[in-house]
Amino acid sequence: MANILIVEDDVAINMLVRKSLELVGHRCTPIFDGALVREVLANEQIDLILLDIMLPNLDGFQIMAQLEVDIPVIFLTARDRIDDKVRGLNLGAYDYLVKPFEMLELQARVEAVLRRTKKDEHHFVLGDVKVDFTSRKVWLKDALVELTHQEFNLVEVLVKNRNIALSREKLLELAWGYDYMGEARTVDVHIHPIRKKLGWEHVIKTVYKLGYRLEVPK
Amino acid sequence: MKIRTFFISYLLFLGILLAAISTISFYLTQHQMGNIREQNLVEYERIAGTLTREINAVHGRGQPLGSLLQSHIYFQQLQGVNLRIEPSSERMNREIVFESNELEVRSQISTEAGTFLLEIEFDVGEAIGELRQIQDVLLWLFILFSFLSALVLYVVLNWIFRPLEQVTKSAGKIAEGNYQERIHFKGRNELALMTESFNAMAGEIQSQFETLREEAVRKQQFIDNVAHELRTPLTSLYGFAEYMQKIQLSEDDKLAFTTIMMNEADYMKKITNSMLELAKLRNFEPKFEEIELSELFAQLQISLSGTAQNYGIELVILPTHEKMWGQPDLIQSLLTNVCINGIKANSKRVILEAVRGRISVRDDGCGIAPEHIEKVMEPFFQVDKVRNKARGGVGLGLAIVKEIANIHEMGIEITSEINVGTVITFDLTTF
Repeated sequence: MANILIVEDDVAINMLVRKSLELVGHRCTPIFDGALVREVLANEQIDLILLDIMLPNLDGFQIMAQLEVDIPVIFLTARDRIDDKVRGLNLGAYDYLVKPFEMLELQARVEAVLRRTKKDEHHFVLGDVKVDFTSRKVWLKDALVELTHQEFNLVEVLVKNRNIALSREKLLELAWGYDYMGEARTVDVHIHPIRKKLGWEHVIKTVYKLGYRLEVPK
Repeated sequence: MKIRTFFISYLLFLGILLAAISTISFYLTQHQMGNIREQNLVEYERIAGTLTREINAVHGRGQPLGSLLQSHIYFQQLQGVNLRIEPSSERMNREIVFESNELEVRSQISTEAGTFLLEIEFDVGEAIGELRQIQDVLLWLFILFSFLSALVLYVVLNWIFRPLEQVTKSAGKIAEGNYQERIHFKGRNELALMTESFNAMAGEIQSQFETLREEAVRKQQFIDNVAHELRTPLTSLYGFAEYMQKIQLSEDDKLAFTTIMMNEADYMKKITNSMLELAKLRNFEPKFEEIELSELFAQLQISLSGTAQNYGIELVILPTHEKMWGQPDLIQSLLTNVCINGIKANSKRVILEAVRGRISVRDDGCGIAPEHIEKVMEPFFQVDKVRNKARGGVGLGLAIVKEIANIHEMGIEITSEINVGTVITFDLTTF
């Protein structure tokens, strides 16, 4: 779990980003004015900043240049020109994401940055189930559960994108890789044993006509 | 051009030179030949005179003529002259014949011993040789002057054509994009005038090009802004739709999200409408007529009172007798935009009035910072974007106002003070 500061002047997008990140368990501090960044950083422990460029009072590049503490920054902006991207990355940003973006891409990039800065979760607990991402082991009521390599991949993808419905195609892409030529049915075949082994019959929900979602109470 | 000029001038010059030298040569020859003829005729007369006298003397003494004539022929041959004399009774005139290097004179002489035919051949080779020499000198002079004149002509033409070459070079540079290129040429002749007008042309091209470039930058900026302004609502539209598809939502969330999506769609609709309006105004041929501002103000009172009430603002429209020249619906749009701006500026009261050839809209709202006053008329410039969007503004209102004012050639003046208020004034177009 990470504390993420969202600096975005558009109310709707700010809300969208906050909602999306809260789904997977992050805590978010939304602000709408670039001039407030310094104040928030002084009062709160922040792990990652999502920064828009066109902001009132103080723009994203200026904020980035004035940043004193070493906190990873991802630019989240409508400016898609190469020189803006280069400038942002040269200022020390970890990533640069152009609007409009997809929720899954935002999640993946945030997670990638958190993994690099070691703020990422190493394990995940839900009820009696404990998943350790470092050792790739899963326990049910303190008893080790035997999962195949592919089954663990699938569990990892579902946990990291929890509360988000993932289509079967998306799951194939994320858990098997782009080059895997499997069918959508392959996913169903793997979901079934996971549900059984972990007692997750009601945790991994089938989403009508779409795919699966790992539901975690907020 | 230069080569052609060179050849034409050169041929002309050669022609004149040739004519002059030929004339000189011709007259010299004539003169020389005349001299030779004269000299030899005098010599002939002298010999003829001597012979006549001697023949008369010999004849008077009754001696035969044979030995005398023989000795004369012999004596003359020693001096390079062929002489032939024989008795002749035929009457004949004097004959003079040129034969290559010899001049032959034939004539009758009458003596007491009868008439004789005297024929003398003079050798004139030496005189003719001199003449040839003079002709040779003239020929060499001709050749020498031809070469010399070619050289001089080439140098002179180069000097004359230098500005032309500079013009060519500079025109090439300008064509390559060096618009600051100019020609430096001193003088007062036609070429100086030409370089002057060339420089003027280059200056004009440069300034036109810069205007175009500025225009292009402005257009690019406008397009960038449009892209940004449309991409932002699109991002949230797509994002919320995706969210609703993939996440289990509470009824509250559902309502909140669909409201946001509808607002965003509405915002995009407004932007496209405003942009269409702006685009229409830019290629617009207005139909002007006389406008009674009192009528227009009455309509504004009706159309704006609702908005003013919503914001809890007092809209004061003062009575007027002013008239102006313009297209009524455009002027109404202009005043509506400016009044709504005033209403949204956190004012308590907005006053619209028209006096002494000017319309002014005065509010007591938040005001515009001095550094922003120049920019407020630019498309998509918003001092407080969040608040403006919340109030349904897209940032094109004043750009439309400016466009309409330009069409009517109305001067715009903005004075403002932070937290005191803003006054926007327009000069009325009259007839």
